[in-house]
Amino acid sequence: MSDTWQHLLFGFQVALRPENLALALAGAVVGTIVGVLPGIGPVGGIALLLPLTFRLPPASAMIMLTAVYYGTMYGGSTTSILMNVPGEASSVVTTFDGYAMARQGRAGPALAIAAVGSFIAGTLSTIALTFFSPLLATWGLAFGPPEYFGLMVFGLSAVSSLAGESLVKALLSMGFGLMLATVGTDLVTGVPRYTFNIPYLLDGIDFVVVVIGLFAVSEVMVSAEAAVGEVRVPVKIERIWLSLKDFVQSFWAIIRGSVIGFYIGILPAAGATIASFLAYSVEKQLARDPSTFGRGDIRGVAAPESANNAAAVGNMIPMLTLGIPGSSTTALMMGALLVLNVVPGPMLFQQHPDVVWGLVASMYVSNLVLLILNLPLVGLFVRILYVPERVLLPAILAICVVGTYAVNFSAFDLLTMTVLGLGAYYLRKNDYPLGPAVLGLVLGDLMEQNLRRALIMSKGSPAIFVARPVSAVLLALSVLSLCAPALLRLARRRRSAEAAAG
Amino acid sequence: MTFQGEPVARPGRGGRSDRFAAVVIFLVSSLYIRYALTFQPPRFRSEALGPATFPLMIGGLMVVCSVLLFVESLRRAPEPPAAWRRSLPALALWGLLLAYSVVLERLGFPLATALFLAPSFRLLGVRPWWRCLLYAVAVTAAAWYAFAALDVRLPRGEWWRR
Repeated sequence: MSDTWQHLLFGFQVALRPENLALALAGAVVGTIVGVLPGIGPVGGIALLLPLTFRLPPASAMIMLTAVYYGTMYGGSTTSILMNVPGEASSVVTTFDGYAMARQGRAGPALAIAAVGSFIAGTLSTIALTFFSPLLATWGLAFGPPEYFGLMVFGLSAVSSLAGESLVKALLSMGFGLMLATVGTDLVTGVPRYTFNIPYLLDGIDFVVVVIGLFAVSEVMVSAEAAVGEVRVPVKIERIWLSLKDFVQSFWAIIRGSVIGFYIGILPAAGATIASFLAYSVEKQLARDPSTFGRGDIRGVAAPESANNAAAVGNMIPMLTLGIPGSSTTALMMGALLVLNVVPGPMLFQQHPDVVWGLVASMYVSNLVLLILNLPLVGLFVRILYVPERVLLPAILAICVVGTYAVNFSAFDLLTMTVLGLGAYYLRKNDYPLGPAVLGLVLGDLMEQNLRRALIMSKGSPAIFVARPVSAVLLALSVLSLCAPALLRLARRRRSAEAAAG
Repeated sequence: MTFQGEPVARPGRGGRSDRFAAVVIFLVSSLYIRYALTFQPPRFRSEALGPATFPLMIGGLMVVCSVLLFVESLRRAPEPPAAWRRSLPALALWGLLLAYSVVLERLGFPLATALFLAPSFRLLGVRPWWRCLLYAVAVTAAAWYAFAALDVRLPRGEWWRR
């Protein structure tokens, strides 16, 4: 325990260095702007901002990215409340009561409770993360290659089984990411794979190039379709302030939302979206008069906003301690760390304590920065909403091009980005979830390495995955998570058949 | 439950395009597997797992899933015939982006960007023309100075020096 305090103190020394503090502030501002921007969600936004961080030392890069991540979450709630436009799935619930409040002229309290709730939830779950993740990392140290392989298979199958409408499409998307990951020289044998004699491909396709194409370009294209001729106007806001009565009324909603969000966030695949829906329905069920929900109840904003922030923090735990990201956003962060030659996982706590603890400390700092920034400045950020999408979208594409070009100063990367953008646009239009693709892309290399090491340990026998209890359980869980949707459907059909018969 | 946003999910469409995709994915994965079979591991090492094994596993998964997708698509209704028309602005924008990516180094950032932005604004509905040009020049100049401040060296183009 005292160890943790010491580490945390060390982390604050890293996070509070002037340059890191400035990066956290800049990240928070840029993240909020990206979150507020229509036409591009947090995942696309973070992808777009990745090139900015690559000249920084790992700890600073992570601090900036975390601030960006938090900023996009804050920004996303703003558009949900003022325009009824959720920037991402996890702020859909916020629109129910948030937009209703805004139309009743209570946009100020709605925005304020979202900021205060996010701050409290973010801080509480960061405290939990501080004490929980070293324990998990210690536990993870006992993992060998077979366990890691099992864990990655489980992570991929859990994310695929929960993403989108069709499991087959999710698996195809995951396979697409894995295929992209195999491009380049095989690290162990030195054999070039899928390079088609193109020298640019020997190092593999740059992670940043892929994610900008997959997420940012395709997202702008989807928005462009809707943007033609359409102009949306946000609800006007007066003062951003919260009365004591509002705060007291939503206090327990915030606490419950934090707890629910944190625990849901730790689970792989079940991220901020499920957490926010669950927190909302819990509040509705506990309320004395549930009919106020959906008509501008402040608890209906407080609970989901707290829950999705807490889940965002909870999500970081499996990524940092075990190296298994549970969502697209954490997969992006993990990809960024890998580019910086920092491999997340239990060893990270020993090899790069400055990254881990600097990051943890900066989570506290970013939360505070965003609260201070957002309460007085929301009005300013909202101005961005008045810039029409038809002007913003081409400008965002120009930034995609510059961001990609700046990675290697290579025109080949630009073509790769553009082609992947078109591919991802097709995937989005046809209901393929993109989360599994980015997860496959990030985990592909590590999976292959661990598979190899495990087979070397067992002298080539795949029985090792079943013989070791932890990996056997993880693989069984993977099969279960892939079969679960089909089994549930079967059970439901039988039940409705029985109901029809009886 | 379907959500808007990150995994864009709009069910109930696309029987025909899924069937087409299934065939394309099947062919691509077959080529992927075919290529993997040509990987020669170095002689002097005997690894438990050569360079081809992992790609073969992925390729196998993709082939199986493409067959499943084909079967699944048979149960879906075909999309309305004119559905692709809605995608036209997005595809036109993509065409401009492709041209922009190709000419960026040759024309240089300022010219290429302005030439990309003006028609893109027009495409998405900015009127009249002079406004498209004005915005294009303004955004290009802002981006040029912003990236210069970040110490990102953007290409000026070959014509600049002459």
